[in-house]
Amino acid sequence: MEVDKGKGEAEETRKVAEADRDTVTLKSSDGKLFEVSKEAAARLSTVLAGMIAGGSIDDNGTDLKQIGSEALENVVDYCNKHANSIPSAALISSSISFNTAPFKEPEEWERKFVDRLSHDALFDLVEAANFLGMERLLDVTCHKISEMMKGKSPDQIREVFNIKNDYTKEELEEIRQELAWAFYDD
Amino acid sequence: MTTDTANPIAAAAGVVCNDGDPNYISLLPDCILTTILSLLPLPAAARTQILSRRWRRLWPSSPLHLHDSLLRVPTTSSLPAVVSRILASHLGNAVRFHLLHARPSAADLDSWLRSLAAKHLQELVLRIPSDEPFPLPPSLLSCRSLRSAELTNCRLPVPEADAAAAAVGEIYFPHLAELTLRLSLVPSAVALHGLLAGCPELASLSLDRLFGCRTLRVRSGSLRSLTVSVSLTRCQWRVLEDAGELDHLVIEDAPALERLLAHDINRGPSINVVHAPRLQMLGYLGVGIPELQLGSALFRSMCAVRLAGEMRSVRTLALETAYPQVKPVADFLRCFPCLETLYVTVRPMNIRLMFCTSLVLMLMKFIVELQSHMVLPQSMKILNYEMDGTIECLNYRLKTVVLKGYRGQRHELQLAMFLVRSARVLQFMKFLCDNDCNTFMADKPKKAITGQQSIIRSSICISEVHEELHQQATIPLTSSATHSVVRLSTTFVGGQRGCSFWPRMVMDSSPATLDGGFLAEASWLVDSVRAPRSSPAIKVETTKAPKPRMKRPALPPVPLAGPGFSPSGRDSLAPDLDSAARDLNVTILRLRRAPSANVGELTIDSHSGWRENDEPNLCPNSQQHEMLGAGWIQRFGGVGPAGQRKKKGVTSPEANAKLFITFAAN
Repeated sequence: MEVDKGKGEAEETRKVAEADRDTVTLKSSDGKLFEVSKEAAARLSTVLAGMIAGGSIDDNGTDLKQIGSEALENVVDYCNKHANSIPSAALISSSISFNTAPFKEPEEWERKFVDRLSHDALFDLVEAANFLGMERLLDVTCHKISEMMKGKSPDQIREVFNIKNDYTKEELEEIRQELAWAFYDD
Repeated sequence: MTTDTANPIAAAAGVVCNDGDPNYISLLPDCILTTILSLLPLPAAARTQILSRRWRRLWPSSPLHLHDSLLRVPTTSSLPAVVSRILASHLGNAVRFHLLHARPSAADLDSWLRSLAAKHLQELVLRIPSDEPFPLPPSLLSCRSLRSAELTNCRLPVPEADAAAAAVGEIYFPHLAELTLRLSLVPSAVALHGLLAGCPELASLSLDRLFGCRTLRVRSGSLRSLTVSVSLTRCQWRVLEDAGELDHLVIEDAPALERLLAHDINRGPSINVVHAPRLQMLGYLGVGIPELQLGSALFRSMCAVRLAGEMRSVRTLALETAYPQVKPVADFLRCFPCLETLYVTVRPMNIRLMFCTSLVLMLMKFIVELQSHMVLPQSMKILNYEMDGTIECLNYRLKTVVLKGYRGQRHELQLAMFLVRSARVLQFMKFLCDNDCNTFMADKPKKAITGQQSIIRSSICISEVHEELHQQATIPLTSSATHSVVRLSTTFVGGQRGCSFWPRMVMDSSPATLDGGFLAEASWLVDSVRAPRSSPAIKVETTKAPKPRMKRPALPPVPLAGPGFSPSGRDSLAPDLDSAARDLNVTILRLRRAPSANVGELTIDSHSGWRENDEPNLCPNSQQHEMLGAGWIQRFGGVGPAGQRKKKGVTSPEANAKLFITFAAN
């Protein structure tokens, strides 16, 4: 009885502590743990917001099996460092102009944030942002990738991204003809 | 480093290159790659199909943003073919479709719109270059996913006699929030009403020269912003002219309407606001609007016929006039008891319209005289205009006044004086000076040369314009503005220190400019404004040059003191200005000056209160400094230099500067 009571109390205090905690712990696919402010996570990621609201956050590390540690580190870095300067997703959607939502250019620090990443890290981050429903981070990373493609010929793009040309010569010629309009400025 | 084993999909998808290095970009999900493609210019995005088989199907399913101005084609005539081709090969949804250069045939446009309707187009801009309004095909009506549409130079396909059709849902744009019709033609008023009835989400409607509907009755529960403008000159197209332009706008029932904006002083539709309980912003209203009915208040050509203070929701009002008068403005103020911000724009009329306006003005005067059975009040009487009765917004609400296109002419001064005197809670008054009047003055050199007049040539001006004037002629320009401010300020020193202003000073091209006299005058004026009541910040600003005629590099801003400022010659006076300004707590907000021309633009602010007894904190470095500082204080403290100054009369800048120093020595 005594032991049970003590256990119950411990449970209670643990629960209180959990409710009071202002961070959430995330676990990457390879088992590493990361802490991120609950407020920032809920504000920047629709998926995490849903998990927090739904109480499916595990105190010992919420499993995010789809995200590697490197990408998760970047995500957490993005949240922690810049949480304060980003309007929440709710804010953005409430202030939608009459126009179709225009893409807002990345800010200086966001540029720097993605510029320092390697290709692999960048692509992992895009996927992580997509998985976690982080609209702004997705925008910023997609923008970065599109910047990397801009002003380059198909050959140059293949080289940059290591894409293998698996067309036959005939197929290539056919597509080129079809897309003649897109090659006028070459 | 992730390896193939960690990415089994890589191997499965066959995107591993020969050397075993996978291309990660191809591993990204389609939805991300299509997003990336939609951020690229259209041709570049389409070209990615040539990268590899994986990329072949990506572009056709990415969101389409088609701007025909961004397509590179050998000749514009081949544009329609290219657009057709793109629409045929693209399979996904369309976000934007902007047509600015292409001249499609009616059949082309019809098939495009059909195809775009199937692609759930969201934003449509049509500005088809054509000699007469381009008839839009009925397939436009099938683009029900539209959120925003701008139709320029178009003939709308709305069925003419089919108001019933609208009712049963033939015209139905459930998501359309923003609609602009420019230089466009509707078949009839009924058709336009039907169109508006078919847009239940319409929040913003802009009618810029709309033809075919003379009277528009707006009934919309969703509309938040309505902009109306009419053509300045007679229309160049017969077909539009025959149809007749919008000349009467009735806001019958617009419970959500917040902004009602009209443009152009010269012509405008009559406006009748019957029910707009949330209307916050109204303007520009000008004499071009023949009849303006706001609730039960009625104005004809800006002259009050009937007054009523019903529009309690309006916070911002903008008036436009060629000759601002106190009475009409005061009348408007009576109608808006909760007004917080007032814009009055003075726009000089072009010569052709001058005659008409003067007629209107004569008529206005006549009406005013008839109404009040008295001659138009003279200057001081005008100042006492508010005695006629209280104007609620002046007592409790009006916080900001912006006078735009201010030239410092007498009636403008009177208006400004009236506002400062009677607006009890005024916090901010801003004078925006137009450049146009400078060139206007330059056109009349004979009038401008007034060497004999005793005018303090204090100056504030935009350097670009001044440089332009230098190119044209070296005429010393003075204006009635400078003259009147001198007169005004002496009046007020002599009599009640009620108010006075620092209006725009037209430049003269002699090196008269940023000497001590100027800032002394400015700050002194500010002080006299501040003295009687709370202290409105008076800000002198010049508007940006509309468009410099000659290309010249922008002049870098030169700080008044500090690094970058080189004291030499006359300029050595300027640092004293700075210290004096500091002493007087007059903050110099900005100074821009042309190094060669000795002119500049100066913005001062006086939030902080300077009291007469404050000891100046003089800079002990130079004797001159001290003298100047003392001089400042003397003048500021009202020892009475203004009267002396007037007696002496200053004709040249040197004299002006000297005068200043003389004061200091006194």
